[in-house]
Amino acid sequence: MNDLLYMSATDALEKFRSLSLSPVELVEAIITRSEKIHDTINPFADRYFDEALNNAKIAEARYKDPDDRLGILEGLPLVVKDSTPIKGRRSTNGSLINKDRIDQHTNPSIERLLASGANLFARTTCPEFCWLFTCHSRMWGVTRNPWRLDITPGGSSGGSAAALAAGATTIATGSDSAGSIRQPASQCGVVGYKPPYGRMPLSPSNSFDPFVQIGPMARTVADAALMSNVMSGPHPLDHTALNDSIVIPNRLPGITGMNLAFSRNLGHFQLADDVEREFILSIDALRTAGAHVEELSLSGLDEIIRLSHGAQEFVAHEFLQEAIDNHPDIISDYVPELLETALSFNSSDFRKSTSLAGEIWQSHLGPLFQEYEALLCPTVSSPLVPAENWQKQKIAINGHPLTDTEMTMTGLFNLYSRCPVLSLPSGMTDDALPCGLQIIGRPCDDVTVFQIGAALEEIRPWASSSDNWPSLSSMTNT
Amino acid sequence: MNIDDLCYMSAHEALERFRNLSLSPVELLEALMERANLISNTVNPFADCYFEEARERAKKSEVMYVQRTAHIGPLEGIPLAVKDLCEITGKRTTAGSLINAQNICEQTSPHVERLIDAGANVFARTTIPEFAWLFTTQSRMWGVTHNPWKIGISPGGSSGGSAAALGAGATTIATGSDSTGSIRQPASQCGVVGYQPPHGRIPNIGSSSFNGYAKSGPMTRTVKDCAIMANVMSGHDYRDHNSFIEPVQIELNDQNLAGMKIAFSMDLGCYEVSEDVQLETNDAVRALRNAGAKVEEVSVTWAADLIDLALGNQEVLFAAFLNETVKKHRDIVSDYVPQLCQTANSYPAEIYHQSILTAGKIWLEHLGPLFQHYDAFVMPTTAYTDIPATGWQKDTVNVNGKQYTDTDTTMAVIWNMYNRCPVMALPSGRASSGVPTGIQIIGRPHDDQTVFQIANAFEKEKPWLDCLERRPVLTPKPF
Repeated sequence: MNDLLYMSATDALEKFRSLSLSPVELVEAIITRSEKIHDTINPFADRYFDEALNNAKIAEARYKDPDDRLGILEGLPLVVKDSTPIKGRRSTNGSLINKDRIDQHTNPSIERLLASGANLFARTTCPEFCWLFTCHSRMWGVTRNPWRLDITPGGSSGGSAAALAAGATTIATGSDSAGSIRQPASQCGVVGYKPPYGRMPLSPSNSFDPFVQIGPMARTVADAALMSNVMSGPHPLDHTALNDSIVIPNRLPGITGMNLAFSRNLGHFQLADDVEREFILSIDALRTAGAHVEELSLSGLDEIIRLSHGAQEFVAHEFLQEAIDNHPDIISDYVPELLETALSFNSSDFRKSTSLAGEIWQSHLGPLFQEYEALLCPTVSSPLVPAENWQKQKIAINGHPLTDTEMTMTGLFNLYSRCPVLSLPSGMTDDALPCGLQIIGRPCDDVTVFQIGAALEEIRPWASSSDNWPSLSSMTNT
Repeated sequence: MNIDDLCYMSAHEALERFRNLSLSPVELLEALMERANLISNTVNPFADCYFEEARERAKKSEVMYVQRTAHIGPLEGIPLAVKDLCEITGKRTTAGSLINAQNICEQTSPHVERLIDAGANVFARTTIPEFAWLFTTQSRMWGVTHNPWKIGISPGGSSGGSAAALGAGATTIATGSDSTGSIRQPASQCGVVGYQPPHGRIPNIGSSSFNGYAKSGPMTRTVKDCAIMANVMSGHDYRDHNSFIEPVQIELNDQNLAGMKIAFSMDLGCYEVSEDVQLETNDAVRALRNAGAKVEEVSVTWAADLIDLALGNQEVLFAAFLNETVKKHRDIVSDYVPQLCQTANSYPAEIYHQSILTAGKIWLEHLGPLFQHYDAFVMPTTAYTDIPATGWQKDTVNVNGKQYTDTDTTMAVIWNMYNRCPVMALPSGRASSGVPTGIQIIGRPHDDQTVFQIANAFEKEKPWLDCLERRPVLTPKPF
């Protein structure tokens, strides 16, 4: 049973094709698991179980009919974040304000997943307006980490990450404007990919904001690559989509001789000892795989890291103010705090974020990526963020009281939006929680980050057996 | 060869003549410098000039051609005028402001670097309004630049000096930059070619490289010259995070436009377009049809709000810069700068977010489908031509009996918002005042080649500046 729940997408598709597994069997197992963990983990927003069972039966028949044209992801269970629009379905963006909103349009990357046969059976929770690094709201309640119920699965794509770690889906999608794919992936010990801006076509509300990307979340590097290949590519209805198509090859070459750089803290962040230890073990693994890996002591990034968050806070003024003015009774209690933070960044900060971004790239990061094929750093300082944490609450890391924003090392590469970033599990902390690392590639060089990711996964696998994942009893024991 | 033919010679022809030794780079440069002196008091297109240095450089080019040196650059010996906003190491760049009167640059903008590496000979810088923020070209730093076709009328702005120099036959090629129309509107005003590449095609470094609206681009007199420059200027630069990886090289051929479908709008449903501009634009559409294209007029209903949002997007960023600058240097900025400040601050900061939301929506609903159906879009560049050279941002002109500012009559900014679209501004004719009119050819995102192909065919049908009758009569007297 557990083998089914934690089966990779690539394995499942192979078994579908060889008829040794039916899409019905897989989705039934996942639905059963979903029901068992619903009350404790709570990863799902709207659920479409009956519809998904029907779709699985159709997929089953397709696999049996040799004449039928199969989609690449035919019958594969998929969950989509509740902030991403799908025509004719509800997406609330984690807010009671939108509890009756039915979308008129499907995000083009999701459209491609659906068109390739993925079986959408549920939506995943996010915090209100996707504006927390935890995952709770008045709309959907509290989502918890399958590895430890008092800890957050991260946010905003917390439901997707939690569902993957709980064996409650095969693949998932997330979105990331400051780390919302990568931080939850790190928290839950799964794979999250933030593609370069323009690689995956976006909905009209996001397509002109370079910070916001949609991306795959999965348990293996190969599954994330498979999804990425379906989701990516130019699109006539997204003006900002990149023009070239990139395919991540099935068989990625090794990384022998590759020139990599790493930074423990980007010259800015505090890092818990156990997270640092696991990060360095992962770096050692890449050396074992044959890469030249060099440690960099970065500095001068403090202001640009601050402004990389500020640029997104600046664009949040309007919708946060609107929510507070027009819907004071139904918004989550933490929304006024979000506005307060947002208003602390003004248009001067925004302008400075764009001008400084260009200057820092020219002086620091451009030359860095000229010399090295990728940069590695941890994803979070420490996973010890409580499930119900608010934005301004502080957590002590190495004796320093920090907010969860200050513990999340991702935002800089939303500003440097063309860099592909893959977040992978780097190991387990002393508290038996996963922690992650980021592989940051050169602008628009998606393939290299997958190549490095696959090499790391081979040496330090995290999903090689269902025993690597939290037990059902630990997830349901309140 | 008479001096006028030398002054208006295309870079393409000059290069051919350099190679067959029927013209020397020195001879060409001398003719241009003589022309520059002739019009410096009237048109005033140039900021700093480097004539002596350029002479020496031209002599070296001459030797290279005579000795048939290996690896001669694709622009070796071609006189180039560079906008006083682009940086050149060791040279002054003022951005049209006395604040920067002593600003010696420590780096060269990548697009200029590539032109220089290709052998272009920078002999002068071209004037711009202060901070490049007017559709006219005047400043306390550089005085007033006039239109070579009619003294008293603006050459446009902010790349007004470059356009005026080309129109007056005072340079062979020039550079410009465009964040709300600053290449295209001057190109239109002066009857020359201006190209706004897709954002990321021609690299920018430093503070402007993250502003998608702001792009550097070539300004020339012919489409072929524009292609030569674009091919030199474009391509990835690791110092620009947003520069495209994929290389694109324009190839021009003699193909007509048979099979090409072009959408056309006279006014985007909201601009007041003068009768003169309408007349010439219709004639341009006829020329495109003669070249074989199927041109269909489309009705546009979605532009009015979008245009204000697109301007607002840039004004909000400009306000953040300007407020600090003016506070520090109130006594030396141009008289119109407080007015710029007022306009910039009249846009609420929220307009930035509104602009990006609306841009996505309009593309999804209108422009995306339009570009699926049509290979390109054609419209005028300016709605009206006779903008006074000393006009300020809020001064108005009378178009069809109503009052409009030059911002109102410049039909460019929407294509800074949709900045993956390549856009070429071309001359379409001349208004009854004698001032040129222009059209823009807008291509699908990243499809530079089609825009050049249409422009090339159009130029054959409706040529400009190619003979004495189609060039301005220059007045050497001080205005």
